[in-house]
Amino acid sequence: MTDLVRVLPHFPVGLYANLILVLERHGLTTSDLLTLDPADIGKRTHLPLLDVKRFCSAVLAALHADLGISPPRPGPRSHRSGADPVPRSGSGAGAGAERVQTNNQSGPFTNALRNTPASLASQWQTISTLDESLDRALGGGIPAGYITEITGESGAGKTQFLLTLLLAVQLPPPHGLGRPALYISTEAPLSTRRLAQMLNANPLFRSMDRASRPSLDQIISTATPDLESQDHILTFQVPVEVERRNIGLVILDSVAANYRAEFERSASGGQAANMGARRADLVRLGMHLRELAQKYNLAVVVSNQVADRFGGGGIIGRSFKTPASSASSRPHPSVSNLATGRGSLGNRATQNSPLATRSKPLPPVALTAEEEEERFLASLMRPPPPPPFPGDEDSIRPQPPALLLDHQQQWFTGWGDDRYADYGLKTPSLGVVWSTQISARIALLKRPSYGPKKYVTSGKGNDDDDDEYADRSARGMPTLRNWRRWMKVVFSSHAPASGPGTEDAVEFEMYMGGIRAITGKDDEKETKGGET
Amino acid sequence: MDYHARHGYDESSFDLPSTHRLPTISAAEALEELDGSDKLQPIPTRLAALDDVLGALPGCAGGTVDADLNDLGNPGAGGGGGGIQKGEVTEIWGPPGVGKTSFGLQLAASCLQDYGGVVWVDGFHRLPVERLQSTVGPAQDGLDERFIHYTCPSLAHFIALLCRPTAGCIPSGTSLIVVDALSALLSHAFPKSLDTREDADSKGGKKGPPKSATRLQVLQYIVGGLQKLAATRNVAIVILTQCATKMQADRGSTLIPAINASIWEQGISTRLVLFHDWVEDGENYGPRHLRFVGVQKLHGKASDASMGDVCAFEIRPSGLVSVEYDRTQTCAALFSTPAPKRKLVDTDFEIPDSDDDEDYGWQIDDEDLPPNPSQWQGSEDLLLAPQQSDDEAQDDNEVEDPVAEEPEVHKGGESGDEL
Repeated sequence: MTDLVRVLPHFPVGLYANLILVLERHGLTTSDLLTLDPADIGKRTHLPLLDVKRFCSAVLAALHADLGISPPRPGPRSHRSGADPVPRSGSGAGAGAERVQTNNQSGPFTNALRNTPASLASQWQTISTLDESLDRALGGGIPAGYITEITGESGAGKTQFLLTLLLAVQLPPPHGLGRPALYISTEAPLSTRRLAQMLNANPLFRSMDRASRPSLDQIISTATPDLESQDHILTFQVPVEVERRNIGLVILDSVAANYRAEFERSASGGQAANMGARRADLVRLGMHLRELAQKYNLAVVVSNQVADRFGGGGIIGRSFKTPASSASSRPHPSVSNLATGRGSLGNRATQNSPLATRSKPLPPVALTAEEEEERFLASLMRPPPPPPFPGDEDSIRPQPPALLLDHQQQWFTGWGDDRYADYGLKTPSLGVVWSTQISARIALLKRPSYGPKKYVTSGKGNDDDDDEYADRSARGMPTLRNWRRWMKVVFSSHAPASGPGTEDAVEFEMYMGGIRAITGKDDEKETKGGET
Repeated sequence: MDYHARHGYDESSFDLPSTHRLPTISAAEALEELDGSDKLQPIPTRLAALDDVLGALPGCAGGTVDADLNDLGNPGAGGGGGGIQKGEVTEIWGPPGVGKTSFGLQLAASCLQDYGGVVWVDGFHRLPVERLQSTVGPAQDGLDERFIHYTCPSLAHFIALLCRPTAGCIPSGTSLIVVDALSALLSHAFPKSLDTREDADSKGGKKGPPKSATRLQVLQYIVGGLQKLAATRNVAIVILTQCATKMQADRGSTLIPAINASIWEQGISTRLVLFHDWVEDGENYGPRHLRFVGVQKLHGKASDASMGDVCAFEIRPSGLVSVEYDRTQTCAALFSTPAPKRKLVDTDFEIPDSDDDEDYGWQIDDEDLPPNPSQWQGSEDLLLAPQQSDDEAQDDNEVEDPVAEEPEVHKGGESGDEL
């Protein structure tokens, strides 16, 4: 059983060794064991029926025990009304045998699968960002047990944000978790200099005495330059480290970097298969991170890059009435749902049918991942390959225009929900697949602020007239003075989302001691500190 | 339980101990049940317009009450007695962050208020408990007994919990089971891969049925198990599903529910979709962002159009509140980017022959014009009648000003296409 070990780590495999060997050869998963009739399994595998039945019921009983449910026998134990969470326990030998509940897993790592609100509340912990307004916007901080994504352009302050968290997690609750942190970087190594700067300059750290201050010793870092090493490290080495040191925060800086590098390099021919493999990879990664987060009650924070979103021209001039309005007599909303120049492929599909892409080479435009994949899938239509899941395609009727990806993604990507802004739109990498793996997305927005040019350098070496003219006209011309940054909660399971654009987003700045929110209008503040 | 009391626990017996038959009751009992009890009372969603649409099954107590639209978000007062039906499986899907979990919380709070029990099954991320507490509000007594939360780390756990439940899984008195993100478990267990050649397993030995068939079979089992559970225990099962994307031929990428299989859709009796959209707001002069609930399938009957009635709501810390908006307004989008220019090959324009530039494309043989009378020296009075062939006019026009004139000629065609 390929996944029995993963699903039920404490199942006594030794008792059923011969069965499991045969079942594995036939590629049966644990779900198959539960959903198929024992007679069917016996027919396929030619195993004795009684053994199969016993094995299946043993697996089922083990799963129930895992979930914290009392066995079906009328026994003295009843764990139903639980103010105390039932600890995750190992399983007995079978339903027929005497039930032995042993507590195999002990220590701080057990997390019950069955809970009541009281026990859930006791497990809720957050890591503060060391700033009140930011914490308030985040609903207390970054929560433990969830995957949070921080996305933004380069230079927006993602890495600074993460460095702050690395130090904050070491503080005792309520600011942090009092546990060490793990930093996995895919691009640049951990900037220890900046961390030391922050330690020295942050007022909160300064107010603590040396012994209880966070230290760099509690931060473990590693670099994963490519996808293979990233997979290996995350799957095998990170759980070991987490368990050994009771790590409270795992940061994966730039989850997108390795995926983009790996999957974009291949030739266009195999790209459809690549996209499918990438999607499966992302799902697996999301599942693995979430297992880590929940099993050890730690916070997983990933940072993501963005790609430009091009306004290729929307489906201008059409107003889509929702189909119900034509069908029924009641006045229905006629909302015109347009991919108003936001979607990069909103109109492209109408211009060139997907089949036409075969004849023309694709322009090098940053397509979103799904569109890339679908486009290549469509281009493989002749000769048509068997669809991955036959019989499914018919069941989907055409969806209403409101559900176009380009239209809906304005709200869950973090860019585009301000109706009047149509420039500088970005889309976080890795598409909808990754967006469904995270539980919260925080976008760091960056906007330039212009001001009159105060100083004009006069070229000493040149005595051209042009130069003088340029000087004269350059004085007072707007020039880039500063970058303003906002932190915006795009969506989150535990905090209210920020309003459109930068309305409710918290403006922050970076300074020597980390990041802090700007309260009130302060245009004169200069940003100090390192920027990545 | 009767079965085991009678037959004991015999491991080697192949009889099915689970009641896969619904318990039989006499018709008189059934009628009595329908009339008087509130067992079949639907769980109100507290969004007045949505409750109206969802309606109540005929014959149910508290069927048609005029909805008081002024009581927006007022629990218990709004709604025409409609809501999520018990004994049925409902699916709610939408893009990330649109409010599926909030919707589930609202239903749970509404159910807890009527002293029903709630079981919340998390397939992916855990429910943040403070949101539950803020939605339920002050009526928190006995919350721990009536709200049970399960986390399912894998699909096998989920199947064991809900499709092969024991007596202890779902405590009696439960009225609502919410499953959050079943699609995540499914997509992990059955990764969709475009490469169907992976079935040729290199492990050797016999290959089972392909992954796709296994997936369909498991889906069928799950949906059957959920239906059975809903019917026998008289609970409402609500499944919150994530979205996936699919390319539609003429429109580009669109969102679809992550679990798309006809077997699954047959088992779901009601399907709601949550999405965002703009709405023209008269008072603020500008489009306003609202979230919408669309009804795609109701009580087993798919709506004729791809989306039925639509209601708007907003998310507040205390839950969802219904929002009234002007349904007759169309949201005029703002076009700041012009329509993309068509490529020249895509148009119907005739590209002038650029070979002989000096001649400006004058056609040497002019068969269309009538032969000039003898000693003709040309005259401006000769106006070409409009009934004459358009080609001719086009030829002349195109020669002089190929860009400016053409759009006028083709404008009728364009706007015709647009509509």
